[in-house]
Amino acid sequence: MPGPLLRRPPDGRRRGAAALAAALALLLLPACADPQQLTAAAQTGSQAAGALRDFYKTLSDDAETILELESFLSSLRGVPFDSSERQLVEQQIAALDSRARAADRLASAYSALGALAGTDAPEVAATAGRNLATAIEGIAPMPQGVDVAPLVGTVTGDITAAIEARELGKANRALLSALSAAQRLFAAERDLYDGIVAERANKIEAVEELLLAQGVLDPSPLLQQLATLTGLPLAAGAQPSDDLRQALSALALTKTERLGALTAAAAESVEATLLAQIQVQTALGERRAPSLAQVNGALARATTLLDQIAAIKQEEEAAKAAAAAGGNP
Amino acid sequence: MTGTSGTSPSLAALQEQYFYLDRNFNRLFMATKTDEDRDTLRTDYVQARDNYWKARAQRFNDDDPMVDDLQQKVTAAQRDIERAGERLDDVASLLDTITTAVNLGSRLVSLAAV
Repeated sequence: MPGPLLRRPPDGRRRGAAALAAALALLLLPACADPQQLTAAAQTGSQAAGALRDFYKTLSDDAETILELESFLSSLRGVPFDSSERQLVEQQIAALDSRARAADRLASAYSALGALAGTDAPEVAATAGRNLATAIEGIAPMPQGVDVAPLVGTVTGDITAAIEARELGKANRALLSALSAAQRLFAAERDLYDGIVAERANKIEAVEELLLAQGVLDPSPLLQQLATLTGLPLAAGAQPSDDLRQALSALALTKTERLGALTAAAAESVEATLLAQIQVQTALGERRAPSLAQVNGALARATTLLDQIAAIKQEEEAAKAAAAAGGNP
Repeated sequence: MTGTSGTSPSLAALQEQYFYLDRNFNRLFMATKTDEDRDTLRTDYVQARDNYWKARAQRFNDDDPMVDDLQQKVTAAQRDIERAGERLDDVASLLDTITTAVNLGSRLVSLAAV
Protein backbone atom coordinates (compact mmCIF):
# COMPACT_ATOMS: atom_id res chain seq x y z
CA MET A 1 0.00 0.00 0.00
CA PRO A 2 1.54 3.41 -0.95
CA GLY A 3 2.70 5.73 1.87
CA PRO A 4 0.83 8.95 2.72
CA LEU A 5 2.85 11.05 0.21
CA LEU A 6 2.01 8.80 -2.65
CA ARG A 7 -1.69 8.34 -1.93
CA ARG A 8 -3.97 10.43 -4.27
CA PRO A 9 -5.89 13.16 -2.39
CA PRO A 10 -9.67 12.98 -2.27
CA ASP A 11 -11.63 14.70 -5.20
CA GLY A 12 -12.66 17.85 -3.18
CA ARG A 13 -9.05 18.66 -2.32
CA ARG A 14 -8.02 18.22 -6.02
CA ARG A 15 -10.67 20.75 -7.12
CA GLY A 16 -9.54 23.20 -4.42
CA ALA A 17 -5.87 22.92 -5.47
CA ALA A 18 -6.77 23.51 -9.13
CA ALA A 19 -8.78 26.62 -8.19
CA LEU A 20 -5.90 27.98 -6.11
CA ALA A 21 -3.45 27.40 -8.97
CA ALA A 22 -5.77 29.24 -11.38
CA ALA A 23 -6.10 32.17 -8.96
CA LEU A 24 -2.34 32.37 -8.51
CA ALA A 25 -1.87 32.33 -12.27
CA LEU A 26 -4.31 35.25 -12.62
CA LEU A 27 -2.45 37.26 -9.97
CA LEU A 28 0.86 36.70 -11.69
CA LEU A 29 -0.40 37.59 -15.18
CA PRO A 30 -0.10 41.34 -16.11
CA ALA A 31 -3.47 43.15 -16.28
CA CYS A 32 -2.93 43.73 -20.02
CA ALA A 33 -1.43 40.49 -21.30
CA ASP A 34 -0.85 41.52 -24.94
CA PRO A 35 2.49 43.34 -25.34
CA GLN A 36 1.61 44.30 -28.93
CA GLN A 37 -1.55 46.10 -27.84
CA LEU A 38 0.37 47.81 -25.07
CA THR A 39 3.11 48.88 -27.50
CA ALA A 40 0.51 50.40 -29.84
CA ALA A 41 -1.23 52.15 -26.92
CA ALA A 42 2.11 53.46 -25.66
CA GLN A 43 2.82 54.95 -29.09
CA THR A 44 -0.50 56.82 -29.26
CA GLY A 45 0.00 57.84 -25.61
CA SER A 46 3.38 59.34 -26.46
CA GLN A 47 1.87 61.22 -29.42
CA ALA A 48 -1.07 62.45 -27.33
CA ALA A 49 1.24 63.77 -24.62
CA GLY A 50 3.36 65.35 -27.37
CA ALA A 51 0.32 67.19 -28.74
CA LEU A 52 -0.46 68.41 -25.21
CA ARG A 53 3.13 69.66 -24.86
CA ASP A 54 2.95 71.51 -28.20
CA PHE A 55 -0.35 73.13 -27.25
CA TYR A 56 1.06 74.42 -23.96
CA LYS A 57 4.09 75.80 -25.82
CA THR A 58 1.92 77.74 -28.26
CA LEU A 59 -0.11 79.11 -25.36
CA SER A 60 3.06 80.18 -23.57
CA ASP A 61 4.10 82.05 -26.75
CA ASP A 62 0.71 83.76 -26.79
CA ALA A 63 1.13 84.90 -23.18
CA GLU A 64 4.61 86.28 -24.05
CA THR A 65 3.05 88.25 -26.90
CA ILE A 66 0.41 89.65 -24.52
CA LEU A 67 3.18 90.82 -22.18
CA GLU A 68 5.11 92.51 -25.00
CA LEU A 69 2.09 94.18 -26.57
CA GLU A 70 0.65 95.38 -23.27
CA SER A 71 4.01 97.04 -22.49
CA PHE A 72 3.76 98.85 -25.83
CA LEU A 73 0.06 99.72 -25.56
CA SER A 74 0.30 100.89 -21.96
CA SER A 75 3.02 103.31 -22.92
CA LEU A 76 1.01 104.67 -25.87
CA ARG A 77 -2.21 104.87 -23.85
CA GLY A 78 -0.47 106.56 -20.93
CA VAL A 79 -1.50 103.87 -18.42
CA PRO A 80 0.71 102.22 -15.80
CA PHE A 81 2.00 98.69 -16.22
CA ASP A 82 4.02 98.00 -13.10
CA SER A 83 6.19 95.08 -12.02
CA SER A 84 3.47 93.37 -9.97
CA GLU A 85 1.20 93.27 -13.02
CA ARG A 86 4.01 92.02 -15.24
CA GLN A 87 4.66 89.33 -12.67
CA LEU A 88 1.08 88.05 -12.95
CA VAL A 89 1.60 87.39 -16.65
CA GLU A 90 5.16 86.06 -16.16
CA GLN A 91 3.91 83.56 -13.58
CA GLN A 92 1.28 82.35 -16.05
CA ILE A 93 3.99 81.89 -18.68
CA ALA A 94 6.08 79.90 -16.18
CA ALA A 95 3.05 77.77 -15.28
CA LEU A 96 2.37 77.00 -18.95
CA ASP A 97 6.06 76.14 -19.53
CA SER A 98 6.09 73.73 -16.60
CA ARG A 99 2.96 72.05 -17.98
CA ALA A 100 4.69 71.69 -21.35
CA ARG A 101 7.71 70.07 -19.66
CA ALA A 102 5.48 67.67 -17.72
CA ALA A 103 3.65 66.69 -20.93
CA ASP A 104 7.03 66.15 -22.62
CA ARG A 105 8.16 63.90 -19.79
CA LEU A 106 4.85 62.01 -20.00
CA ALA A 107 5.50 61.45 -23.71
CA SER A 108 8.95 60.05 -22.85
CA ALA A 109 7.48 57.76 -20.22
CA TYR A 110 4.99 56.38 -22.74
CA SER A 111 7.84 55.79 -25.19
CA ALA A 112 9.74 53.99 -22.48
CA LEU A 113 6.69 51.85 -21.70
CA GLY A 114 6.41 50.96 -25.37
CA ALA A 115 10.07 49.98 -25.44
CA LEU A 116 9.61 47.98 -22.26
CA ALA A 117 6.63 46.08 -23.68
CA GLY A 118 8.40 45.43 -26.97
CA THR A 119 11.91 44.67 -25.82
CA ASP A 120 13.95 44.07 -22.72
CA ALA A 121 15.02 47.62 -21.80
CA PRO A 122 14.42 48.12 -18.06
CA GLU A 123 17.11 50.79 -17.63
CA VAL A 124 15.51 53.06 -20.27
CA ALA A 125 12.07 52.60 -18.71
CA ALA A 126 13.31 53.26 -15.19
CA THR A 127 14.97 56.54 -16.24
CA ALA A 128 11.81 57.67 -18.06
CA GLY A 129 9.70 56.83 -15.00
CA ARG A 130 11.97 58.91 -12.74
CA ASN A 131 11.88 61.85 -15.22
CA LEU A 132 8.08 61.72 -15.26
CA ALA A 133 7.91 61.77 -11.46
CA THR A 134 10.20 64.83 -11.34
CA ALA A 135 8.25 66.67 -14.02
CA ILE A 136 4.84 66.11 -12.44
CA GLU A 137 6.13 67.28 -9.07
CA GLY A 138 7.35 70.44 -10.82
CA ILE A 139 4.00 71.49 -12.31
CA ALA A 140 3.48 75.04 -11.08
CA PRO A 141 -0.09 76.17 -10.44
CA MET A 142 -1.49 79.02 -12.48
CA PRO A 143 -0.95 81.97 -10.11
CA GLN A 144 -3.22 81.31 -7.09
CA GLY A 145 -5.10 79.02 -9.46
CA VAL A 146 -6.00 75.39 -9.85
CA ASP A 147 -4.47 73.17 -7.17
CA VAL A 148 -2.54 70.41 -8.94
CA ALA A 149 -1.59 68.22 -5.96
CA PRO A 150 -4.94 66.41 -5.51
CA LEU A 151 -4.99 65.64 -9.23
CA VAL A 152 -1.59 63.97 -9.18
CA GLY A 153 -1.87 62.17 -5.87
CA THR A 154 0.49 59.25 -5.53
CA VAL A 155 0.92 58.79 -9.27
CA THR A 156 4.61 59.66 -9.28
CA GLY A 157 5.69 56.87 -6.96
CA ASP A 158 3.46 54.33 -8.68
CA ILE A 159 4.89 54.96 -12.14
CA THR A 160 8.52 54.71 -11.12
CA ALA A 161 7.98 51.53 -9.11
CA ALA A 162 5.87 49.87 -11.77
CA ILE A 163 8.26 50.63 -14.62
CA GLU A 164 11.31 49.57 -12.63
CA ALA A 165 9.66 46.27 -11.75
CA ARG A 166 8.64 45.72 -15.40
CA GLU A 167 5.07 45.27 -14.31
CA LEU A 168 3.39 46.20 -17.57
CA GLY A 169 -0.15 46.21 -16.24
CA LYS A 170 0.75 48.41 -13.30
CA ALA A 171 2.72 50.74 -15.56
CA ASN A 172 -0.30 51.04 -17.85
CA ARG A 173 -2.52 51.90 -14.88
CA ALA A 174 0.00 54.38 -13.48
CA LEU A 175 0.42 56.22 -16.81
CA LEU A 176 -3.37 56.15 -17.25
CA SER A 177 -3.61 57.87 -13.86
CA ALA A 178 -1.10 60.54 -14.91
CA LEU A 179 -2.85 61.12 -18.24
CA SER A 180 -6.26 61.33 -16.56
CA ALA A 181 -4.86 63.92 -14.14
CA ALA A 182 -3.47 65.91 -17.09
CA GLN A 183 -6.84 65.76 -18.85
CA ARG A 184 -8.74 66.92 -15.73
CA LEU A 185 -6.32 69.82 -15.29
CA PHE A 186 -6.70 70.74 -18.97
CA ALA A 187 -10.51 70.69 -18.74
CA ALA A 188 -10.48 72.73 -15.51
CA GLU A 189 -8.27 75.42 -17.05
CA ARG A 190 -9.85 75.60 -20.54
CA ASP A 191 -11.44 78.97 -19.95
CA LEU A 192 -8.03 80.37 -18.92
CA TYR A 193 -6.50 79.06 -22.16
CA ASP A 194 -9.35 80.46 -24.28
CA GLY A 195 -8.93 83.82 -22.51
CA ILE A 196 -5.22 83.97 -23.33
CA VAL A 197 -5.90 83.27 -27.01
CA ALA A 198 -8.64 85.91 -27.21
CA GLU A 199 -6.58 88.51 -25.33
CA ARG A 200 -3.64 88.08 -27.72
CA ALA A 201 -5.94 88.72 -30.68
CA ASN A 202 -7.32 91.86 -28.97
CA LYS A 203 -3.85 93.23 -28.34
CA ILE A 204 -2.73 92.69 -31.93
CA GLU A 205 -5.88 94.37 -33.21
CA ALA A 206 -5.35 97.36 -30.90
CA VAL A 207 -1.71 97.76 -31.93
CA GLU A 208 -2.56 97.48 -35.61
CA GLU A 209 -5.33 100.07 -35.30
CA LEU A 210 -2.96 102.52 -33.60
CA LEU A 211 -0.14 102.04 -36.10
CA LEU A 212 -2.42 102.26 -39.14
CA ALA A 213 -3.98 105.44 -37.78
CA GLN A 214 -0.50 106.96 -37.51
CA GLY A 215 0.34 105.89 -41.06
CA VAL A 216 3.40 103.91 -40.00
CA LEU A 217 2.26 100.51 -41.28
CA ASP A 218 3.03 99.55 -44.86
CA PRO A 219 0.12 97.58 -46.33
CA SER A 220 2.10 96.65 -49.48
CA PRO A 221 2.50 92.96 -48.59
CA LEU A 222 -1.27 92.58 -48.24
CA LEU A 223 -1.84 94.56 -51.43
CA GLN A 224 0.60 92.27 -53.20
CA GLN A 225 -1.25 89.19 -51.93
CA LEU A 226 -4.54 90.57 -53.23
CA ALA A 227 -2.95 91.46 -56.57
CA THR A 228 -1.58 87.93 -56.86
CA LEU A 229 -5.13 86.58 -56.53
CA THR A 230 -6.25 88.69 -59.49
CA GLY A 231 -3.26 87.68 -61.60
CA LEU A 232 -2.45 91.35 -62.23
CA PRO A 233 0.64 93.24 -61.02
CA LEU A 234 0.42 96.16 -58.62
CA ALA A 235 0.70 99.56 -60.31
CA ALA A 236 4.10 101.14 -59.63
CA GLY A 237 3.94 103.73 -56.86
CA ALA A 238 0.32 102.84 -56.00
CA GLN A 239 -0.75 104.60 -52.79
CA PRO A 240 -3.81 103.18 -51.01
CA SER A 241 -6.60 105.57 -50.05
CA ASP A 242 -7.90 105.78 -46.47
CA ASP A 243 -10.81 103.52 -47.37
CA LEU A 244 -8.44 100.98 -48.85
CA ARG A 245 -6.23 101.14 -45.75
CA GLN A 246 -9.29 100.40 -43.61
CA ALA A 247 -10.15 97.43 -45.81
CA LEU A 248 -6.57 96.12 -45.63
CA SER A 249 -6.69 96.49 -41.86
CA ALA A 250 -9.80 94.31 -41.83
CA LEU A 251 -7.95 91.72 -43.93
CA ALA A 252 -4.98 91.70 -41.57
CA LEU A 253 -7.34 91.21 -38.64
CA THR A 254 -8.93 88.23 -40.37
CA LYS A 255 -5.52 86.54 -40.32
CA THR A 256 -5.12 87.30 -36.59
CA GLU A 257 -8.59 85.97 -35.88
CA ARG A 258 -7.76 82.83 -37.85
CA LEU A 259 -4.89 82.07 -35.49
CA GLY A 260 -7.26 82.46 -32.56
CA ALA A 261 -9.79 80.12 -34.18
CA LEU A 262 -7.07 77.55 -34.93
CA THR A 263 -5.82 77.61 -31.33
CA ALA A 264 -9.34 77.20 -29.97
CA ALA A 265 -9.89 74.25 -32.33
CA ALA A 266 -6.54 72.80 -31.29
CA ALA A 267 -7.63 72.92 -27.64
CA GLU A 268 -10.76 70.91 -28.51
CA SER A 269 -8.74 68.36 -30.49
CA VAL A 270 -6.07 67.97 -27.82
CA GLU A 271 -8.72 67.33 -25.17
CA ALA A 272 -10.47 64.84 -27.49
CA THR A 273 -7.13 63.09 -28.01
CA LEU A 274 -6.50 62.78 -24.28
CA LEU A 275 -10.00 61.39 -23.67
CA ALA A 276 -9.65 58.87 -26.51
CA GLN A 277 -6.27 57.72 -25.19
CA ILE A 278 -7.76 57.30 -21.72
CA GLN A 279 -10.40 55.01 -23.24
CA VAL A 280 -7.72 52.92 -24.96
CA GLN A 281 -5.75 52.39 -21.78
CA THR A 282 -8.88 51.76 -19.72
CA ALA A 283 -9.81 49.00 -22.16
CA LEU A 284 -6.35 47.48 -21.86
CA GLY A 285 -6.57 47.56 -18.08
CA GLU A 286 -9.91 45.74 -18.24
CA ARG A 287 -8.41 43.20 -20.66
CA ARG A 288 -10.65 44.38 -23.51
CA ALA A 289 -9.12 44.80 -26.95
CA PRO A 290 -8.85 48.56 -27.51
CA SER A 291 -9.74 50.30 -30.75
CA LEU A 292 -7.20 52.90 -31.78
CA ALA A 293 -9.39 54.47 -34.49
CA GLN A 294 -10.75 57.26 -32.28
CA VAL A 295 -7.42 58.28 -30.75
CA ASN A 296 -5.68 58.16 -34.15
CA GLY A 297 -8.40 60.35 -35.66
CA ALA A 298 -8.22 62.89 -32.83
CA LEU A 299 -4.41 62.88 -32.99
CA ALA A 300 -4.45 63.56 -36.73
CA ARG A 301 -6.76 66.58 -36.23
CA ALA A 302 -4.74 67.94 -33.30
CA THR A 303 -1.44 67.53 -35.16
CA THR A 304 -2.75 69.26 -38.29
CA LEU A 305 -4.03 72.22 -36.30
CA LEU A 306 -0.85 72.54 -34.22
CA ASP A 307 1.24 72.41 -37.41
CA GLN A 308 -0.87 75.19 -38.97
CA ILE A 309 -0.44 77.32 -35.85
CA ALA A 310 3.33 76.75 -35.89
CA ALA A 311 3.49 77.73 -39.58
CA ILE A 312 1.64 81.02 -38.97
CA LYS A 313 3.88 81.87 -36.03
CA GLN A 314 6.98 81.08 -38.06
CA GLU A 315 5.76 83.54 -40.72
CA GLU A 316 5.29 86.16 -38.01
CA GLU A 317 8.80 85.55 -36.65
CA ALA A 318 10.26 85.81 -40.15
CA ALA A 319 8.43 89.10 -40.70
CA LYS A 320 9.72 90.37 -37.35
CA ALA A 321 13.29 89.42 -38.24
CA ALA A 322 13.00 91.05 -41.65
CA ALA A 323 11.60 94.23 -40.10
CA ALA A 324 14.43 94.30 -37.56
CA ALA A 325 16.91 93.95 -40.41
CA GLY A 326 15.25 96.90 -42.14
CA GLY A 327 13.54 95.07 -45.00
CA ASN A 328 10.14 93.62 -45.83
CA PRO A 329 9.63 89.87 -46.22
CA MET B 1 -9.09 71.39 -6.96
CA THR B 2 -11.60 74.19 -7.15
CA GLY B 3 -11.78 74.46 -10.93
CA THR B 4 -14.61 73.04 -12.99
CA SER B 5 -15.00 72.21 -16.65
CA GLY B 6 -16.50 75.00 -18.72
CA THR B 7 -16.32 78.75 -18.27
CA SER B 8 -16.63 80.41 -14.87
CA PRO B 9 -19.46 83.01 -15.22
CA SER B 10 -17.54 85.38 -12.94
CA LEU B 11 -14.38 85.15 -15.04
CA ALA B 12 -16.47 85.56 -18.18
CA ALA B 13 -18.08 88.76 -16.82
CA LEU B 14 -14.71 90.31 -15.97
CA GLN B 15 -13.27 89.19 -19.30
CA GLU B 16 -16.12 90.82 -21.19
CA GLN B 17 -15.58 94.11 -19.28
CA TYR B 18 -11.81 94.16 -19.84
CA PHE B 19 -12.00 93.07 -23.47
CA TYR B 20 -14.59 95.76 -24.23
CA LEU B 21 -12.35 98.50 -22.83
CA ASP B 22 -9.27 97.02 -24.54
CA ARG B 23 -10.99 96.86 -27.93
CA ASN B 24 -12.70 100.27 -27.66
CA PHE B 25 -10.02 102.26 -25.84
CA ASN B 26 -9.03 104.30 -28.90
CA ARG B 27 -12.62 105.12 -29.87
CA LEU B 28 -13.58 106.10 -26.32
CA PHE B 29 -10.38 108.11 -25.87
CA MET B 30 -11.02 110.06 -29.07
CA ALA B 31 -14.51 110.89 -27.78
CA THR B 32 -13.28 112.36 -24.48
CA LYS B 33 -13.11 116.16 -24.24
CA THR B 34 -11.26 116.88 -21.02
CA ASP B 35 -8.04 115.68 -19.40
CA GLU B 36 -10.10 114.58 -16.41
CA ASP B 37 -12.25 112.34 -18.60
CA ARG B 38 -9.14 110.89 -20.25
CA ASP B 39 -7.62 110.09 -16.85
CA THR B 40 -10.88 108.46 -15.74
CA LEU B 41 -10.85 106.25 -18.83
CA ARG B 42 -7.21 105.28 -18.22
CA THR B 43 -7.91 104.42 -14.56
CA ASP B 44 -10.94 102.34 -15.52
CA TYR B 45 -8.98 100.46 -18.18
CA VAL B 46 -6.15 99.60 -15.78
CA GLN B 47 -8.58 98.50 -13.09
CA ALA B 48 -10.51 96.28 -15.52
CA ARG B 49 -7.27 94.77 -16.87
CA ASP B 50 -5.93 94.05 -13.38
CA ASN B 51 -9.29 92.65 -12.22
CA TYR B 52 -9.27 90.19 -15.12
CA TRP B 53 -5.64 89.15 -14.72
CA LYS B 54 -6.13 88.52 -11.01
CA ALA B 55 -9.37 86.66 -11.71
CA ARG B 56 -7.67 84.53 -14.36
CA ALA B 57 -5.17 83.65 -11.67
CA GLN B 58 -7.82 82.82 -9.12
CA ARG B 59 -10.74 80.46 -9.31
CA PHE B 60 -14.15 81.63 -8.24
CA ASN B 61 -16.49 79.80 -6.01
CA ASP B 62 -19.53 80.20 -8.18
CA ASP B 63 -21.68 78.52 -5.56
CA ASP B 64 -21.45 81.58 -3.34
CA PRO B 65 -24.82 83.39 -3.77
CA MET B 66 -23.23 86.76 -3.05
CA VAL B 67 -20.76 86.17 -5.88
CA ASP B 68 -23.64 85.15 -8.13
CA ASP B 69 -25.59 88.30 -7.41
CA LEU B 70 -22.57 90.54 -7.91
CA GLN B 71 -21.62 88.78 -11.11
CA GLN B 72 -25.11 89.45 -12.50
CA LYS B 73 -24.71 93.12 -11.60
CA VAL B 74 -21.37 93.23 -13.43
CA THR B 75 -22.97 91.68 -16.50
CA ALA B 76 -25.93 94.11 -16.38
CA ALA B 77 -23.52 97.04 -16.02
CA GLN B 78 -21.62 95.83 -19.07
CA ARG B 79 -24.84 95.91 -21.12
CA ASP B 80 -25.33 99.54 -19.98
CA ILE B 81 -21.79 100.38 -21.11
CA GLU B 82 -22.30 98.87 -24.54
CA ARG B 83 -25.60 100.69 -25.03
CA ALA B 84 -24.05 103.98 -23.93
CA GLY B 85 -20.96 103.31 -26.02
CA GLU B 86 -23.04 103.25 -29.17
CA ARG B 87 -23.61 106.98 -28.72
CA LEU B 88 -20.60 109.02 -27.75
CA ASP B 89 -22.41 112.35 -27.33
CA ASP B 90 -22.47 112.10 -23.53
CA VAL B 91 -18.98 110.90 -22.69
CA ALA B 92 -19.10 112.01 -19.05
CA SER B 93 -22.15 109.84 -18.41
CA LEU B 94 -20.54 106.94 -20.29
CA LEU B 95 -17.42 107.22 -18.17
CA ASP B 96 -19.55 107.21 -14.99
CA THR B 97 -21.18 104.00 -16.19
CA ILE B 98 -17.81 102.43 -16.95
CA THR B 99 -16.38 103.43 -13.57
CA THR B 100 -19.38 101.96 -11.75
CA ALA B 101 -19.05 98.68 -13.67
CA VAL B 102 -15.30 98.41 -13.13
CA ASN B 103 -15.73 99.05 -9.38
CA LEU B 104 -18.28 96.22 -9.31
CA GLY B 105 -15.68 94.06 -11.03
CA SER B 106 -13.12 94.85 -8.34
CA ARG B 107 -15.61 93.86 -5.66
CA LEU B 108 -16.16 90.56 -7.47
CA VAL B 109 -12.43 89.83 -7.55
CA SER B 110 -11.97 90.72 -3.88
CA LEU B 111 -14.93 88.52 -2.86
CA ALA B 112 -13.41 85.56 -4.64
CA ALA B 113 -10.09 86.12 -2.86
CA VAL B 114 -11.71 85.56 0.53
